[in-house]
Amino acid sequence: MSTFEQFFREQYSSIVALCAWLTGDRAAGEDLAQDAFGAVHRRWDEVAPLDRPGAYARRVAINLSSNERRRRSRERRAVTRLAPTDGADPTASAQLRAVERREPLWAAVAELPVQQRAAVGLRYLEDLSTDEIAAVLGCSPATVRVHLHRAHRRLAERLGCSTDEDQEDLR
Amino acid sequence: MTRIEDELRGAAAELRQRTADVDVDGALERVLAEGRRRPRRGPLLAGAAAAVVLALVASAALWWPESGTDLVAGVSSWVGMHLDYVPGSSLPTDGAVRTLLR
Repeated sequence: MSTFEQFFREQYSSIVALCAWLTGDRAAGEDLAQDAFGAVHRRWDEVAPLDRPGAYARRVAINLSSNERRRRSRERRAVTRLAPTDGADPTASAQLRAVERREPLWAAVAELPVQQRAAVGLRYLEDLSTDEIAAVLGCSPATVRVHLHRAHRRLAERLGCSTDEDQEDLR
Repeated sequence: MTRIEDELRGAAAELRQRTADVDVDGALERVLAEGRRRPRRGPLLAGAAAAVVLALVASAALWWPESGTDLVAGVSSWVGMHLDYVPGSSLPTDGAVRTLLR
């Protein structure tokens, strides 16, 4: 069983990335991740013995992200959505171009229901299996497959893309 | 035609890169400082204190109901107005009473 500090150092970066995915905003993602770790810290004696304390921390973050206050804050910060924070960074213009190119995708992801948005984030950001995503979301693997299928379909329609399933159907 | 799965993989890779420089030490210190400001209470003491406060406030706020339906409506209304669930404050296996008493 690790200490809270060890757990934090191992998990923080990936949970910030997940929170940024959920909120569409890096700064809001960092705030959200710290709130989630704060909740975990307060209950560390009970969380530490769990089989997957990381899954618990992610579930807390996902629950917090669906909070109404968070949503309003995200809307207020929409102007700075995922924009580079330091204009002096020599890679900033390249990053900005990448962000602008992805803007329609982020907008479409932000409109997904939170469970679909979380399932997609856990799959692509953290490369989790269906069973692992189910453990985080507290649902069955079948439900995760439905979330992923619907999210892929919705995003593909919105962005004019195909899905892997479409490509397989054509073969 | 572009596949949405490829778009998502690309976006995820960019986001991982853009969040790789987070200030872990600073964030850890902030979380620990917040924990020091809000010292953890023993669960039994916290539960007992919360139960007493809940009983006192509820008894003062609720009128004596004429029927069971009124009681349910009154309790539901009082809870809706006075209590708020903080996400993450309970474990998945916690029941309603345990959640309320935290």
